[in-house]
Amino acid sequence: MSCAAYREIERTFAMVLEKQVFMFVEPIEPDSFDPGGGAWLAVTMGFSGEFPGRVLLAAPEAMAPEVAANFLGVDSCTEAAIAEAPDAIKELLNILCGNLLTALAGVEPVFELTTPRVAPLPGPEAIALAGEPGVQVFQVDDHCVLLRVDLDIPGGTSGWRGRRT
Amino acid sequence: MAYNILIVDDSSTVRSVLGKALGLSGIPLGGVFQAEHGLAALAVLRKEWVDLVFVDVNMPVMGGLQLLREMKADDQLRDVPVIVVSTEGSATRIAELEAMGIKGFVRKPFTPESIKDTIDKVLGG
Repeated sequence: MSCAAYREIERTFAMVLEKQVFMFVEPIEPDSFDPGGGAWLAVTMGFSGEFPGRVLLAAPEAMAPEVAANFLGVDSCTEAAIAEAPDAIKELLNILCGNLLTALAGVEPVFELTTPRVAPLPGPEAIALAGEPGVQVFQVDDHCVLLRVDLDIPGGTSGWRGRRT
Repeated sequence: MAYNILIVDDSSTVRSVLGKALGLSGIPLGGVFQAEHGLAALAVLRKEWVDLVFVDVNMPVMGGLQLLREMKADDQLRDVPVIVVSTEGSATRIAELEAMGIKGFVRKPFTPESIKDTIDKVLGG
């Protein structure tokens, strides 16, 4: 993927998190990645259309109730935030995916999105993921977060017409 | 007049947030119903009087486009105003929704203010 595409992903990720859940995003170097000591979640979804692909968001499990709390306007320790945490982090990826597709492909193509799924991600796998090519590492408030956007474009992004608005 | 409103989204978080935004909007509310997909929404629509529907596009079981088609094919439901709240950004898809008669479109991420503004436009507040 081109540097411009990675910058667009950064911009869109920051916009979605700031606008929807009031969380602030800072890109960081992969070697600054700190998985912390807690459990991790991997949220994934796919899309089809102009080109198919997938988006993966890996985040500390502790971030999910904060996302839910900020969606709902409640404290992250409340029952509502804890109960909605898995749904909230899936919805966050859903919103991100829809906005990423417009940012990367423009407003003409129509994409079909799959339903996001969330699963536990063992800490060692999170560490390995952080070192993989194409994975972007972000600081989101107090959490390190990993994001990977896979675009299945024949010939890679060199064969991609790019954003059309 | 109090409005009965149906919120259709597979995300329980979004249903809750929209419910809160409705409460903050200042419009007189009667019942606020929820459905997690289009099929469940049709069951509510055929049982309850609903003045306004908020609907997502991408949902399992029955998505928003199919729900709109079902509503347009039903004499009792075709005139119920619909506002789409979706992550959808495709102008092609939005034009398709508008051709199906939706009254408003709010793109996610959304704010309570954007929901209120759209309600005001649709209900003439």
